[in-house]
Amino acid sequence: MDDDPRNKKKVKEGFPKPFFSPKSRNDNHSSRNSRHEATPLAMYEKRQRVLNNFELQPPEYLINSQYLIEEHVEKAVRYAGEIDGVSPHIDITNRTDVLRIIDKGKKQEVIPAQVSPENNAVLSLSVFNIKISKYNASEDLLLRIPMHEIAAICYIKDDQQHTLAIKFGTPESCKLAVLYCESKTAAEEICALVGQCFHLVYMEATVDLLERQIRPLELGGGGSTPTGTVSTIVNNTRQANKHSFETESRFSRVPSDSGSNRNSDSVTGDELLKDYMTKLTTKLNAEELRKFAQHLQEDWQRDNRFDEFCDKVLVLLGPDRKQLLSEMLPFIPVDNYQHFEEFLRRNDILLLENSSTLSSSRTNLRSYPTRRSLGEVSTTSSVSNNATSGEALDHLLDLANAQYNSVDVDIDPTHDVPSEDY
Amino acid sequence: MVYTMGDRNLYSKLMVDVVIGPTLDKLEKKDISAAQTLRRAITKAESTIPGLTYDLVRGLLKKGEVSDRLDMCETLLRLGGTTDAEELRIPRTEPSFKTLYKCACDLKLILSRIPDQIYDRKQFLETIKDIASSIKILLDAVNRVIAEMPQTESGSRQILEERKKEFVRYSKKFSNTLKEYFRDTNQNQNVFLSANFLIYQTNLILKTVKQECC
Repeated sequence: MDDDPRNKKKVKEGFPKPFFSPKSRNDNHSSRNSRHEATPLAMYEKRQRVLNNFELQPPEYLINSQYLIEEHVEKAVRYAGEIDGVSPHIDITNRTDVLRIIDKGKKQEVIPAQVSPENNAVLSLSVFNIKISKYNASEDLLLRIPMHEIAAICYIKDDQQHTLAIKFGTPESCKLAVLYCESKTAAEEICALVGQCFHLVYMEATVDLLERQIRPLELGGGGSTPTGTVSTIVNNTRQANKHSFETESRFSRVPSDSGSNRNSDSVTGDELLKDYMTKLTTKLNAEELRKFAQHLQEDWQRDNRFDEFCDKVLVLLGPDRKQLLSEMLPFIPVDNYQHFEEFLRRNDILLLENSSTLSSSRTNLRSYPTRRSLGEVSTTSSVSNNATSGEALDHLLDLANAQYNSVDVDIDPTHDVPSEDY
Repeated sequence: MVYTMGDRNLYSKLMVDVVIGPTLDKLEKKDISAAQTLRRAITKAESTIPGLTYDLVRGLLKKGEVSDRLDMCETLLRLGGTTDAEELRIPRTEPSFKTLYKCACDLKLILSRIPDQIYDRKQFLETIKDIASSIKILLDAVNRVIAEMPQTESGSRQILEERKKEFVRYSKKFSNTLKEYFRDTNQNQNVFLSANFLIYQTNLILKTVKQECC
């Protein structure tokens, strides 16, 4: 390729000086956060848009990650085009193989044999994608490659041409985008920046995966982990978030006299419920949880037999765990509150304020007014609002079912964690 | 990397698990009484003077003029996954207990591969995925055992719950250490140390199950 000295000259001339006009910033090890505007170099450049460029130091060309995440880096290149039908198995670290593909592309006129100022382009790079646009007034988009579709990028110096080849596509078939840079340094810099994007995207994704395994347990305060596959966990987390969102909107739609306190109370009430349900999962096995949810749904909600619900839950918990009932006190709707208090006393269950078994990292039960039910917590202006009491019960039931479902999913130990594309 | 007393105590406890334990297992086959006496004595001595075993092993290595050639943190991590000590084995035959033991061994084995794989980025990412999956499977197995444990006055279930919480805490620390490492790849020693803590927490779960259920 380009053995003809005339071509060499053309290529060299093909990058007019100055080729681009960077808005240059220093971003090296010693001053990674310092950003300096460079003075435009010539009148020619002033007609061009200033590129969002950085002065980076070889050999690593390290850049502050935030610029790749929050912004983008622009480099001036010459874009030859893309070549289809590249084998996914091709190793683009093999110089000869890549040059053969490029030569074939030129012969088939898929890409031009020579590039000229007509091919001047802007390569824009961020953790999301590589975007190549014409370096003209309208900056017509030529190619966009999402980061997860990029398999590899390589730099080849062939005679005086500094070629960049980007292999991308799906596992079945790949393409090769061919670009030319002004110098070896410029080509190496782009390779290094793409490498940093890979690093950010895949490292973060992998650690996130690890955290997703741990997070449900942290949220549960060390309670029983939901069993099941990774996707189950993700779904469960989403479900939990959904609950949280619904709860907030549900609780805050009721007018309140204590406006600014309302939201915080509502959230605390929601957290309180979740904490309690999480605690139940550590004290009850799956079958007991199912029964608890059943009593809630059938005896209390459907049949409105609160007495029966209390009696059955007392039997379910037994003498060793009956104290758990006192921790339900803040969730009992106001219309059942007095009855529930008497029920606790009758069965020698310590009232909430005397209980020493309560523990929660996120709530402070003692800060609750002693005789305040969730109905009151959620709305100060509608204590007798049956709908609100009903909502509290609904929510408790939702949480009970969610907790039960989360421990009842069959585990498939052979199921793999999702893999990232490389 | 800052070396702390906490690290020294961790190394010491891991040495009991991965160096002393297997040696005593061998002795036990020849002289069970002597092995048990020694085991009790070392456990007692270690609890009285935390770090004693580390000092002992370190002293031996220094005397043999090999201590400078040995990265203790990395070596213990390599040993942590490959060594099987009687003290950590759960003799219960029910599926939940067998699964728990297997999951714990699997996780330790994967963690012990870190020193070999940390420098190969792609391989290391795969290893982290394996670790994530193993952590989850182990915790599910622990939950199954907890669910099968009867409610007793001695509070065995609560003790194991606490062990599980600690394990989750150290899993989170491990995850944070990885984040730090990806920002600064010179921090590989911190990854080794964090992985060692996770192995130690895994061993603690096994010991707790053995103590409370066997």
